[in-house]
Amino acid sequence: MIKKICLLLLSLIGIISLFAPWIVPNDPYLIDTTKRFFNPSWQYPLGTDHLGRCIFSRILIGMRYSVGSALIIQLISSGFSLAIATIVTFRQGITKKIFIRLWDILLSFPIIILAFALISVFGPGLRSVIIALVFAQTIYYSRIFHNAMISLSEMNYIKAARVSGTTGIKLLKTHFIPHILPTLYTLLSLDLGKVILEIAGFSFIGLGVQAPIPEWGMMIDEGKQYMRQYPALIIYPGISIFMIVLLLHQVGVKKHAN
Amino acid sequence: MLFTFIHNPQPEKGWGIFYLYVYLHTLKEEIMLKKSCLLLVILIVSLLASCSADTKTDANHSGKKTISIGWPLDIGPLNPHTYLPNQMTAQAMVYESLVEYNDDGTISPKLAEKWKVSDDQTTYTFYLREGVKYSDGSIFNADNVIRNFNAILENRKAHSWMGMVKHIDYVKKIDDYTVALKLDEPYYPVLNELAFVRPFRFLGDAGFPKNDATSKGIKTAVGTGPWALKEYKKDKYAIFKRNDNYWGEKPKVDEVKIKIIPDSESIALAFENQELDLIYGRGIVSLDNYTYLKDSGNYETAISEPLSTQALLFNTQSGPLQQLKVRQAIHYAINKQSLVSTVTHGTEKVADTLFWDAIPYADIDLKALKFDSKKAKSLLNEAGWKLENGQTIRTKDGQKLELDLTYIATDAIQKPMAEMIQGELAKVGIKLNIKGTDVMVGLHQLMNDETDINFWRTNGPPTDPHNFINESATPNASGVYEAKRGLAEAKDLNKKVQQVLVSTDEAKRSQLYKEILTTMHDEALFYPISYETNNVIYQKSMQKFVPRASEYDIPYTIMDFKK
Amino acid sequence: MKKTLWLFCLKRLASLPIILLGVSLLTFFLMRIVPIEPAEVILRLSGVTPTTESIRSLEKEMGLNLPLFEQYWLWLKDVLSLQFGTSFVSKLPVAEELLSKFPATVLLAINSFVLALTISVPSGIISALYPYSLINKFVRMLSIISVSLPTFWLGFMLIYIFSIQLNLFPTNGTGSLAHLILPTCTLAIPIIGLFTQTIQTAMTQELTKPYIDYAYQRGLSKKTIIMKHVLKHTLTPLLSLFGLTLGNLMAGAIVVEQVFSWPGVGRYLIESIINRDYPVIQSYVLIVATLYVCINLCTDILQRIFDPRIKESTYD
Repeated sequence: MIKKICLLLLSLIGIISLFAPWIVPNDPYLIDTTKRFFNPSWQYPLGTDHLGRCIFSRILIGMRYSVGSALIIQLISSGFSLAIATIVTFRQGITKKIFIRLWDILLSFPIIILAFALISVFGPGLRSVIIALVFAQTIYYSRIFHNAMISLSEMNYIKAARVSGTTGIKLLKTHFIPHILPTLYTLLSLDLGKVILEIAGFSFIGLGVQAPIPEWGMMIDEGKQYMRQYPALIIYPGISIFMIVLLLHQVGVKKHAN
Repeated sequence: MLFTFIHNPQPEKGWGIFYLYVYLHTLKEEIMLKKSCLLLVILIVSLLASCSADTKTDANHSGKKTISIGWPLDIGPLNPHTYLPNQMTAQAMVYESLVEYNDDGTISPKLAEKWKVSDDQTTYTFYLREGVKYSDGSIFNADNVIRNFNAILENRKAHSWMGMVKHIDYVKKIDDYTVALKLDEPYYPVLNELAFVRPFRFLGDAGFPKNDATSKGIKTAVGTGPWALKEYKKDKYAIFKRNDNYWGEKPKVDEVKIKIIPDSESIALAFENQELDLIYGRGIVSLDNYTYLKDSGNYETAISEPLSTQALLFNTQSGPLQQLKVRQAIHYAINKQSLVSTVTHGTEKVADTLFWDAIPYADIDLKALKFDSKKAKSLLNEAGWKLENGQTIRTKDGQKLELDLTYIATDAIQKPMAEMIQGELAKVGIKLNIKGTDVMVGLHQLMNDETDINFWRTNGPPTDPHNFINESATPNASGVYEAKRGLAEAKDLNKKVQQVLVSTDEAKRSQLYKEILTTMHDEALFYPISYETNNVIYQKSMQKFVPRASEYDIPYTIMDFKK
Repeated sequence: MKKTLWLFCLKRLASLPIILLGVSLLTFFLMRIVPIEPAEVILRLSGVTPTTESIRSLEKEMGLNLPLFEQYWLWLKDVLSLQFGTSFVSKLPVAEELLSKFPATVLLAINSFVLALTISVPSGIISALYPYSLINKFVRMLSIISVSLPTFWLGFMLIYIFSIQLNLFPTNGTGSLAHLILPTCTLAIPIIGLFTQTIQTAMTQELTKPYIDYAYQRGLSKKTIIMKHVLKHTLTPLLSLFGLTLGNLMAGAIVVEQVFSWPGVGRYLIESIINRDYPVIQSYVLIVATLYVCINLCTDILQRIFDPRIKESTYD
């Protein structure tokens, strides 16, 4: 029951993000310094920020950027990392050895340097941040999946399946993946919030999303200097992140815990 | 009891035992044996780690009057002759100069009691103050002065930003308390530059390293100033004690403790928690926090007179900005009053001219361009940038009126200003793309003319305005030289600048300054935004005092606590 | 088994030099893709006019005008004789700078990690054991909240409540156990959330397996089943997650270090990157790489101890 509601909410959010530019009550980019820090009202459902812009509108538009980018990052990186983990777990020989060495090297590498270099090459902005983070997350996840797969591969039932003739892709599909998925999903959904915040982290060094894009993490970063007087600027984007993560998590967990 | 336990200053033991206690307690709750071994291993490792970590607590200065101030960067090695990572505010506490620059633009004696300038204005003779001792007791005299000058001049290249350095021929000892400084040609701002916090300040003989190579480092920080370094923990704090050998007015408090707190919010919190007595400086805490603390009524606050000016610099060689009318239109399009009061919470004054009145030679009548969006639109029309039907951006010959503005992404003031300016310009049909970069990239782009509009600021006293115009005529210095190249008067301005610096006639100098500054103003090379100030907050336990309009001189000497 | 374990250890450690080589090469070249040369940066920082000549001459002095491979080779030679160079910015030996900052970071990292484990393991277990209880829901809610919280917000909230309002702890700096508690909690809370959730999910998974029933029917008590079997199977695959988390912590928690003025290595790295302080960045990367390799080695060894079914053949 709860699962259905969550799924419904998620699809609703998906639709809203698609049509966001048309359903926002106010222009999210319109600066009006006479209207700073307004309290919520019919005109401004969540009030206004330090430059007089409607917070609600910014959150709606921001949904596309923050959630969209974070989802893209997580989906791509989990796809890549599953693939990589599978290859490395099951191939023998040189490929495996190379990969493991490469892993060790890349994992030991502070991703911030890579991100900095990438962004310097491609210029600041969302695209560079996404590339850098996909890279980082892929390396991070593939090792976790690889090790989990190793543990799994020694399980008796896997051995049994092998003996009984299931091999290769079928083995993967029917036995491995279902057991990896719950952990994968938990990691993915919980890290979604972390990724959104990391996208904002790049603006901390000045290399991230460019203003005035109302990306949620960026809104939190801007709002943090008004933290004590007008915490609304941080609370609303924060709650939004929290809700999305919560919904995704509810849907995912229930799905596989049977 | 737990409280004192936690706060006891021997954490290695306390910590270890505390953790062991927690650990044993949780052991009772069904943790696997092997896992417990794991935890035990980690515990031991971290115990070892904590033993090596710094465990000194804040020294207890009972009975002494100490002012605690927060500062975001470590004070550095306290070398009077070098720049970063030395902090100017710390250097100014320990080392003094021959003369002092006052807030109203006049020069007073300091380590030099009086001075004489030769008729051709190339020789400055300084009569040193007698009886001045360094904090270690050694004597301040001509030999020491010469030694300092020579060490500084060994590295002229590093100081080339300072105009007088390339003009110094030599420094000579006349007698034990007299020195002569000879220039190759007249350079009027010598005294201003000597007053500056670095590099022309004096190190005691005991501080000189091998071969007097102070540019590489010093042995100890020995100065003639009112403070001497007592204790220093890099990136944590620095404690200065009163120099009892000081020749001048001695400070009223015994010690100053500078706590290094990199985050501005953390400084505000530490202050609120009574861990700091004083916050003093520009941009130390966010203006929002400053206003919040001020409005709470629990603290004393003060703002100094203006320090420097924040402005936009237009690249006159770039596209639409080549037209004066476009630059002026930008002036008229922005509601500066609203911009400044919004972003700075009313702590900064609106600037209509690049230099404010107390800056020497800047007290001239310049007409301000006040906010008038109708005028902005008509000027743009006159310049040929028209709004076609249904369009929001003006076009001319098929080209859109699009400009770039670069700002430092981590600057809490530049960012909202950039966003607001973007909004204002959009209203008159100019598309402004704002780009945030890191400091280094921003500087690079500025110097290489890579953006249309940049945020810019003057240096402030005592090097304004001579340093400003000097740099405006020097390539690769402040970006102004490059930015003004599109102006018809560019070469003429450069010539006038050269003349001003070597001029010997005060009246002629004023005239030249007036012409230079007026030209720049009339050509709308800059869009002055606001005058920056030192913002000061202090606990009510301290007596009231007036802050100075200096970027490096914090008047600790006059500060005291209430009885 | 002991012998193979030692061999495994040695084999892994033997790969350390290759890894260090790879990491340093990568850093070296990546940093040089970044525009704006260190020479220019240093000149600007010193307030000197960076004319083309002054940049070139400083570059020559710093050895930056040599071909890339030669620069790398020179650096490598220095490192092999344990000379880690001097910082471009502060002119102090890099080893000194980094070594003065790392202990603080490590202290914070280990404490947060241990705290996180101590809380998340029991919480994860308990909420998995009682899947429909209030505790389960409560724990889940808390985990998700703690993971979605911005770290700096959490830090400032903790300071505000415990430091300013309740006056229990100082707001920043180091020096006593009291200084350590707030930053540790700030770092630990998101990790607790992540670990608890992962453990709970994995354990719930595990509890559905048929062998549990068999064991129960064989007469083993619930407690034994859980402690001896389930826990092992749950935690072992998660060891690499734990290891990676610890590694990330060691590399420096920038935000927490800033909020609490903790004199650690994270912020220092960011500054060095912005200032193009190559020697610092190169050395930092070496240290962190070594740390990571060691931690990974530990987790892999532990994985082998706890799950002896993992044989050498499938892995190496």
